[in-house]
Amino acid sequence: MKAPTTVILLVFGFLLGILFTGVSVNLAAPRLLIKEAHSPYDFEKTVRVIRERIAASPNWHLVEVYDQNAEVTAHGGAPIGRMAIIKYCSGRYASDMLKADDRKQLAAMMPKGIAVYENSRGEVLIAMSNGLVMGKLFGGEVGRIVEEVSREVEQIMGFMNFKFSTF
Amino acid sequence: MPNATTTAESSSARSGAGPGGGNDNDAEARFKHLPITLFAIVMGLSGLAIALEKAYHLFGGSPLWFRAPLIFSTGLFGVLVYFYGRKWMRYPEVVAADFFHPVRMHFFPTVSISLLILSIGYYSYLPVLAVPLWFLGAGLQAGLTFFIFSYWIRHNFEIQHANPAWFIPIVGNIIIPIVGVDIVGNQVAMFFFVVGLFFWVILFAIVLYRIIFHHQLPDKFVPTLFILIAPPAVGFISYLRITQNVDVIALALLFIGYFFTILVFLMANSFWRLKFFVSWWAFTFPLDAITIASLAAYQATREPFYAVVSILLLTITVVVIGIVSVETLKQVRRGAICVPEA
Repeated sequence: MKAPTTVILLVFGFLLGILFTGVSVNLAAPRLLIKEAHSPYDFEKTVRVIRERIAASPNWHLVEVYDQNAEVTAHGGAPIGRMAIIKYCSGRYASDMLKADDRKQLAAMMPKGIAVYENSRGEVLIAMSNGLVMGKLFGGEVGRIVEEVSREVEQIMGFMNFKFSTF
Repeated sequence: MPNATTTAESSSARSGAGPGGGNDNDAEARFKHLPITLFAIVMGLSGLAIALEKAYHLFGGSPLWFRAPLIFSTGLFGVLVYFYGRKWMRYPEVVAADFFHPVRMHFFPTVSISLLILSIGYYSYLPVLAVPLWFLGAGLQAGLTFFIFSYWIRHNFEIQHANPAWFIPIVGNIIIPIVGVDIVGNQVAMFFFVVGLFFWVILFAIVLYRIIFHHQLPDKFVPTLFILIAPPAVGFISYLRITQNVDVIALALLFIGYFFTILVFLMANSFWRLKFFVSWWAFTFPLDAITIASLAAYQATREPFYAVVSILLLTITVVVIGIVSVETLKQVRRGAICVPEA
């Protein structure tokens, strides 16, 4: 193969690779960044179990549980069905994450949240951001802290078996 | 359909005297004999990286332990793709002979499986890289699955052609959902999972019949008995990823995997006496798979039993991969890897 042909093929292959990566990541992103799963319990019990498990975890505490349907309807929105947003935090990990200036911006994603809701078919679902994947996207110290956080979140969500874990 | 061994020999003979050929001792001519089975090394090493990543995630330690084999196996995959690509360009008739060979054709999905395993490895390290790797691997795996199944239907095979390597195209389908469930959702993941599981059961009956009622497997294929571990072990992981539940089906898959693991260890004598072949790498990925399955079982249930089994299996896997790696390096130094088949 002549040298110019090889160069043209390499450049074309490189550009095709960038295009393929961009398209495939864009297709995957919505499922990759938010995890949703069915709860084994009804709405009330799911919220209660998560609250209890957060309270029982040594490094974690419950910040607030929002009744999102009430919030929405109280401020002029149409009802969205039963939905609770459970906000929880760890003083230790939040401090690790936010003490450095270059990581303070991550406060925009804190405290951690778990959404519990009933869909139109009456199924109870749980959703949360796929923190582990997001942590890997940041990499470095953020990735390390998120790795530790995800171990403990797995314990909290252990009642749902294989939840929100990495592979 | 000619006998597998005869075809293999004639294919090698053809490749030695084919166009562009020459003296087989010549380094350039050597890669004409580059076997597709070398991709099993990527499977074994990247599978080990995933097992080490899971161990790191569950038990702590340094992430370097899994990143090093992952990056190394990625580099090796690139090198093998480059050399096999060169072989394909220079000796397309040799590659075609392998691709339509009744035994060797089943090793071509090791390329797509390598991509899929690398995507699993990178999912926990560089998720953005995992996504294109998965799309490439899943697309190639789907294509190869349909091709191989249609080839089986359109051609007559002899029962002695059946061996555990026939599971390789099947295992690929069961691997797809592991990352695929997060990329394309449950329905697509479920499609590949059930196709893989359905044909695993059917092929298992055929391969078991061949092993029990016909001639013993040639020595070169004895290590492929380890592949019996892979479908249920990978099936357990996939099932867990799709259903997010440890139920009776999940446990059935895991325990069938354990059964075959115990079985091959009880048959250790059959393996010790074997001369080294590249096919020894067939030992490695199934061991990785049952180790990862045990780690996943521990992750899901937090039962100490699975922690103990995981650590035991991880130790065995590391030792086995160490031994096979050393033997492979010895063979490379002796120039005994890319040679015509005996």
